Amino acid sequence: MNTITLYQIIGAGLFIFGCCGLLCNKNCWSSIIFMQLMAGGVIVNFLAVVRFCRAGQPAEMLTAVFIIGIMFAMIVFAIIFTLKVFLDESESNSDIEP
Amino acid sequence: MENFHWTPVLFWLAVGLTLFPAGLAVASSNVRSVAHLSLITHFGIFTLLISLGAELPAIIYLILNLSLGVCILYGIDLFPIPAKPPARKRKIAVILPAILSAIIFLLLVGAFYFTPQPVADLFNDRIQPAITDQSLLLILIGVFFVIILISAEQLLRKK
Repeated sequence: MNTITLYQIIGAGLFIFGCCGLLCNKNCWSSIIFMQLMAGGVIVNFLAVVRFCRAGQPAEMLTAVFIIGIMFAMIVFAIIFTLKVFLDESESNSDIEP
Repeated sequence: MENFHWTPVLFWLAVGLTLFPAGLAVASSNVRSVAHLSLITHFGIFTLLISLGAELPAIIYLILNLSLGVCILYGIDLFPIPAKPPARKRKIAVILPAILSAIIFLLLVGAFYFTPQPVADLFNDRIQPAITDQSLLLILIGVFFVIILISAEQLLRKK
């Protein structure tokens, strides 16, 4: 087996763990964390393919942009989720006060 | 130590730091411990990216993920989810990730050691491992590390 296979097994394993966690846990914070795990698996697979299949070509910037893109999406998702929880909490407080 | 290759060390360390905390995180039901275990997993992915030889993406990944992880840890305190009765996990939800991580680990060991050889080599020599035997020692250290992690998780759960 090639070295790329090892990295692809790890990436697939991480992705499967993320999927299992998403399905098993209903907590929203946990779902963000497991989505991060899935993103990690995707990044490992992507980097392994870039490293081994496009050997000799500069891939640092491409990978960095890919990682930043995925993480940016995760951060936006976390901020939106936090705001949603905050708004829900303030609504429930305003219901209780009168 | 002059002939010692650090790449397998880094690789198996990364595997240990990545897969087993991820499996424990799937098995755990406490959000805080899930967040801590995911931080360890991100450090493992960082080591994995370093072992692939991509330093810049690895550093960017670590910085972004650690900051997001710390924010999540504080976010759990600031915005706790309305308390529901904690659902007790079924046994299969705990056993399945453990079996899965063990299968992936064995698959990795198999993929690492048993490379397909040409038929002529099989007649001439005995089967050679793909890498030196020093990495076997490191696998055992990795297993030891996993046992420590599992026992720590059990201790924390009891407290």
